[in-house]
Amino acid sequence: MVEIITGALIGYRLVKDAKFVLSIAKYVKDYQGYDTKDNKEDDRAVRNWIMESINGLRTHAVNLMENGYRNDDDNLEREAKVMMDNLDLFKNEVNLASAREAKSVWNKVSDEDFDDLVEFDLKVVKGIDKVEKIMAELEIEVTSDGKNKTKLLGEAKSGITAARNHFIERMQFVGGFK
Amino acid sequence: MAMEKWRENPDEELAKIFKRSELSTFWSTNISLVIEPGETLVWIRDGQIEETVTQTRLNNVAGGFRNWIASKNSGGKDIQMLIIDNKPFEIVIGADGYTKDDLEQTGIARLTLRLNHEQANRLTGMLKEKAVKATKGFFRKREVITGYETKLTRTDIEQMMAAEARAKVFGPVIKKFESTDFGSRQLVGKVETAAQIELRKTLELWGMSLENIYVEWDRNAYQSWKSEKAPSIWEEKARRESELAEVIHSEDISDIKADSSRERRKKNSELESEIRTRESEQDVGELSQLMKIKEQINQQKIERNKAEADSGIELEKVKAEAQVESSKYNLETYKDAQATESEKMLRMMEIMQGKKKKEEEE
Repeated sequence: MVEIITGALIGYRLVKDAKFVLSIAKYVKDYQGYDTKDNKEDDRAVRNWIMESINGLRTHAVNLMENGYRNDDDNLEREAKVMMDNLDLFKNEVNLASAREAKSVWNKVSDEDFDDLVEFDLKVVKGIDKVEKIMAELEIEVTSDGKNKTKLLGEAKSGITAARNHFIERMQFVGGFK
Repeated sequence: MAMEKWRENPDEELAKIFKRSELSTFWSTNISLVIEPGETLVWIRDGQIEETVTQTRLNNVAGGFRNWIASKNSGGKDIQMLIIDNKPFEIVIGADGYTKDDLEQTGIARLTLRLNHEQANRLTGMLKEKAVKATKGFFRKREVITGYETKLTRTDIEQMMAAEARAKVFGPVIKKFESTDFGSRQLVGKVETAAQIELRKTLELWGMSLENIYVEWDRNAYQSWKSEKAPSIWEEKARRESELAEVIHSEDISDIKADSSRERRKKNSELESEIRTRESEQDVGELSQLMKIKEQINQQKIERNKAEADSGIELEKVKAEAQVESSKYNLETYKDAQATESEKMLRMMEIMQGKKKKEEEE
């Protein structure tokens, strides 16, 4: 009975992980879910994707800032600047995380820990993707002087903070590898 | 195992490209490359980023860096290794412009930038556009491209950004504010916004991002920056401007000279004719005046002659009168003298007579 339950749990876990891996692979090319010879490859791929995505978000923020600057909208200018500052700090954390991989721990991590890492990766990737969509919509809203401008501004800011927090959690989780 | 740093001057060098030829000779000797935290090694094959690695990864590769290089160096046409310092770095550039009320404001701007290693291909692309040229040929000198830049330095970035920031950011932003607004929070914000927007293109072309910017409005700091760090482009521009100004000035001078000589000639001829007219007028005037004077002199002569003649008669009259008077006087004095003499004689006679009497009496 115990074996059946354990088997079912393993099966459920495998299916869930496979689903997560597939979800991440939609964004991060060649993502294998830490199931290769060199597990750090996946970590680096995720971090590179995050950095490139942050560059994309920053471009949206600069566009918003430009809109505010050209139209004398000080509030929009300020809000865009706050977003840019948060994105710069986020990027700095991703860079620092890459410098922290001095500990050669990647070969000793258990499968369960890797599964949890996949979940963290998914949270970060989905969080960034969500912000990307919000910011694209916000840009259109600002250009067309729409009504949802303020709401979307708030959502974008909170989305950036949420994605950054997910990454910090991930970083702490990786830092805990021994 | 010898340890080798990838750059000689960490404060100055920010990125460096190693070509395949250098990798197969220098790097494949018994050397381990040290890449510090915050630095990234980018492996570029045929213009594509193949791998982004750090020192940790190199240590994990069996056989160390040497074997890793050897494993990477096979196949592919164009292989390059780019090492980037992706820590934030600061550059200092001059900020100057005229305010709305036409007062000059100067200072220095501190920009915090970062090279994005994920955009390393942009960096290599831009470095490839920086051709290193040399003059060749003895009789017929010509410029030839001897290679491409392999290093990106802080000074390069300063020089590149200074002129653009001056023209696109500081000048226009300063122009929007009154001199009394300097030091206000609004100005600080506007400078940052303008820098992010206006320098975006250049920054993105080079795979860089601007993380922070602020300006110290200090004239002395600006002057010292200008004398020590002002871009050579500015010097070149200033030289060209001065040359142009000199040419314009010399042209102006020659124009002025030509104009003035023409003017002078015209004036001279006008003056000469005027002088001639005046001289002839003066001559006529002088002649008529001379005639008048001559006439006057003649008149005066006549009058003088007449007067002289008159005065001669008068003189003769006076002389005659004086003669009459003197002869009168002489006569009177003669008479008086004769009387005195006769009186004297009489007295003498009387004395003589008295003497005779006395003798006779005796």
